[in-house]
Amino acid sequence: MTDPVPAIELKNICKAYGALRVIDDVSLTIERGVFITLLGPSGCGKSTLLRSIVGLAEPDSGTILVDGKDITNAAAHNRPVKMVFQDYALFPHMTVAQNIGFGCEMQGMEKSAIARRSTELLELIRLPDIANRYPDALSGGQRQRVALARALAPDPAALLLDEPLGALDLKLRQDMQRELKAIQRRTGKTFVFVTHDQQEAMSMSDLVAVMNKGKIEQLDSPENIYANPATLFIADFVGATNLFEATVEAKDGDHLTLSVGDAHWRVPAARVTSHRKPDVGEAVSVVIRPEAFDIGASRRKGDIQLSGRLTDQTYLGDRVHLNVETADEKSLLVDARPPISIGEGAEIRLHCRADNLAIIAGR
Amino acid sequence: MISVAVGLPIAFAVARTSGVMRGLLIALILLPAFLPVVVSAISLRIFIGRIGLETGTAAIAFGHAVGSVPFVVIMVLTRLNTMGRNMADAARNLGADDVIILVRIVLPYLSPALLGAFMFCLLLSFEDFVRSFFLGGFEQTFPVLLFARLRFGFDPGLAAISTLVLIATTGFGLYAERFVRKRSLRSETSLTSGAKND
Repeated sequence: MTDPVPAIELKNICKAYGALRVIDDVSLTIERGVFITLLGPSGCGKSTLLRSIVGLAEPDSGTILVDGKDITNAAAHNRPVKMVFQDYALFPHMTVAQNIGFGCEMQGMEKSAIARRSTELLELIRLPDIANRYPDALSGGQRQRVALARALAPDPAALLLDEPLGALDLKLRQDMQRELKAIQRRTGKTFVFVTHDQQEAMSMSDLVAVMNKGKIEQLDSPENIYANPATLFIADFVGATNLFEATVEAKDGDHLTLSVGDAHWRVPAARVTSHRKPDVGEAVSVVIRPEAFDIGASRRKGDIQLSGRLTDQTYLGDRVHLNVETADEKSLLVDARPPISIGEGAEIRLHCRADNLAIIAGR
Repeated sequence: MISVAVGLPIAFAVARTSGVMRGLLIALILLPAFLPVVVSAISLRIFIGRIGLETGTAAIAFGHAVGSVPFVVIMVLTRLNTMGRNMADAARNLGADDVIILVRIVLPYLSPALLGAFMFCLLLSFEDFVRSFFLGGFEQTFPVLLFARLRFGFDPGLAAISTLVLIATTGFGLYAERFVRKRSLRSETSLTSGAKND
């Protein structure tokens, strides 16, 4: 699947607006044919990074290579990467076919070839009958797909998508996520997707790069991002999280003993997911996902035991969300399977396997 | 024509500024529209005298262009504001340079506003009496001619012509309005899917 020459290579990209560092020394290598998502809150620099690759923003320093060629100083209209914009930016005075053909036309393609290419792409997005319509006569989802086809038409080295599903409603968005993924598989193109929606990032990507304050904090598979967050920010931003403040009491062999409030947890040292490994006496954070908890006391040796009072439960059919308040007034989120036979306000015991958590140095 | 040609780049320039600067600029550009016509006509007369332009057709054209620019700027600016910033970026990303973006994307997008501005200015300068009177010299525009005739006594033909002109200009204005609205409708809402491109 991977090729010796990566589709996109970013080296030490920096960009600042005044004192604000929007992109802070970002380096990233994107192999060919990969669906990668830049995930982060708004203002983390992900869109600016994308615009730098297509030349619509100018980085202060750094090098951008596409297919091994340095395009850092190439004019925006000469770059081989194409972009799908958040508001689609279709040309309202051109038909769908003219919109899709625009990129090919700019490359000096022959008319008949352009027409063939347009038809081909309309087939790909499964809208073969709308060639002569104007963008304003299309629904949001259709416009979205036309924008995608327009960017794919000139056969780009990579396709960059800047929050393209942001304007769609939830149902349509989920359909489009599947559609996008399918189109990416069918064309084998490199997709660089930008979003602030972690669920979107998780469901579509081969790789996720989580960005925060202009830096990439972790580049990993969606599974690893969720299970092994490298920073506290990622643990908090991706998925629901229960955070415990703890201190490393002792290290023995491949286990750590943590003191959490009055309790002592013995956990595998391999569950330290941050890059920096904590020393004895250092403060750490323990991340336990809501679904890692099981209800009831555990007889298995080494499990982490907790108890508290059930304050609230939300029934969701296949799952129940529980809110549990512990003795030290900490509120826990628990994701359990129904049926739950415990009433609100009652005592509840929880346990969690000692390897079903993540430990991050620092607080 | 002249005012459209002058007003368009001004509108582009204004669209790029922002904040206080933008407010000041717009105020400055609109000023001629709010000035009493007599005042501007007299000052224009003095001005063309200074730069050595003779009264006549050229002077009238110049004067009318000056009077129409504010309307062009406003109409183009309004349309320009509805154009997403990304549209030009998208064209650039697809391989269009500045010239192609202007010719293929921006101008077609602005065309309803440009056409509207053009027709509006045409009406405006056709009707304008004061500026033409001051700047015309021996060259008479239609309203000036009417006025001159009026001074030699009442003439039923005059009333007839005036009525005809009234109807014609009103009709032209209404038609232009309808035409422009139809065009911008086509490029803004979702009513006319099958319309032929021009």
